Amino acid sequence: MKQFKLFIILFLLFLVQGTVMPRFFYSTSDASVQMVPQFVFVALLLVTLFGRLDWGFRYSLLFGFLTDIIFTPVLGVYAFSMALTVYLTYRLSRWVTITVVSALLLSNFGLLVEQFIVYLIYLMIGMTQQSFWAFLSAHLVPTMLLNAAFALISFYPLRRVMESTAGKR
Amino acid sequence: MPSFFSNKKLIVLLTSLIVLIALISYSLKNETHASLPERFAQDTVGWFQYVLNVPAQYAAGFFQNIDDMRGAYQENKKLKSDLEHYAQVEQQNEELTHSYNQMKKLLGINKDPNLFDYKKYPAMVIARSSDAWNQQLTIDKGRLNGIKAGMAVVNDQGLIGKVGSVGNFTSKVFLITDTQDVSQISAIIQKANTYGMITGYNPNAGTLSLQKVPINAKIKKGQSVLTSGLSRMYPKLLSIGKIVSVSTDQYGLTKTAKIKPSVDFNDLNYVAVIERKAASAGTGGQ
Repeated sequence: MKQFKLFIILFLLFLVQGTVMPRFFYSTSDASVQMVPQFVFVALLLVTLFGRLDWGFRYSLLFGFLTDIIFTPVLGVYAFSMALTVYLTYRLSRWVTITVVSALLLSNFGLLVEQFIVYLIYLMIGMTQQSFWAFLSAHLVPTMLLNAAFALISFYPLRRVMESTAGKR
Repeated sequence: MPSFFSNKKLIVLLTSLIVLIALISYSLKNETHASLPERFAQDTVGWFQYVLNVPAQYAAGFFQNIDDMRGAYQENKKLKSDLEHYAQVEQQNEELTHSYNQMKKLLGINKDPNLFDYKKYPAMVIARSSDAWNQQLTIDKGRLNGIKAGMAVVNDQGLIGKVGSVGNFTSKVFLITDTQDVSQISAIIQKANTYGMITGYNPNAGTLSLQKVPINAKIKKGQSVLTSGLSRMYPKLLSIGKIVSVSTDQYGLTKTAKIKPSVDFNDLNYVAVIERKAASAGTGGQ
């Protein structure tokens, strides 16, 4: 039940992502700058980098499916890409020690891979007609900047939460 | 080679790929019909979204107010000039409605509902998919409020989309800017009095395309495009947008036009779900 705190944090981030963020800025599909908040996913990557692959994997499936159900008409795309990327990032993270810089780089790498997989699947099933160039310049770069800022802000608080939950076990 | 296939992780990956493909094909098949667990998740999360939406809206409204104040003077001048025009239009409207109703009475069809009569269900936007690929909203009204899949959704500026899957207390709205949405909207071009079909959205240009307009129709830039009411769910005269350019289609048989939607899709807070009163064409209503 120590995970409960983490679950609450992730769920709040999920709500912020869908309900609060679109109130302040929103990117339509024709916008030339598409900043997409992926806060839950970035937090999950950080959780994984702090050494809890099991939680990261489990919650990436859970919140991936929630994203699919609530925000998209197609099931499974986010769940698949989030869970796969969490695992890949974990494998990569075993080669480095986790500091702010390496966590920032790794979480951004994970985000890049995740967005790329989702884009590929959506392109294949005809959910988007965004060109690859538009995806790179308009979508990926602004999204990574926004989420890097989020990763930077949330690194220390999240680590404290993880340490406190790990300590109580 | 045998060790390659006994690799547990590869098998897990392949299995999950198969599951993914199965899930995708399942959900592409029944787009508007959500299964019970989906509806449950949608409603449960919807409740939390509804609660969080209130402070979020206040905060966003505060910044909006500051922004509004800067343009208030210019806006006020414009509104004043519009208001003079408005009084005249209102009188005209009253006069026309009166004579219209009288004529209907004369014809003995005053009991029939008009194509443009509808019932409005006001609703609040409680969430919005934030990746730019899915153009989808969640609103705080569901089946228990009388919402059905396929109904038109408008805001004060015009048509924004249609209801997708409906939960008990929440429902999803697919916007007309969704490139994946294949539904066609029957439209009428005002002044030219010609019909056409809205067939899709072009995200690169930010325009809807209107097709199947007769080749000799006198349509030009600036004319308004509205729903025609010649469909199952949409009433007549919901504003869709304005024509920005006209061209001939690739075979030279019909005209096509690009339409700029009248709605600002960046800022959607309150919407209304529209249930049309007239019977559908397919049900043999009078």
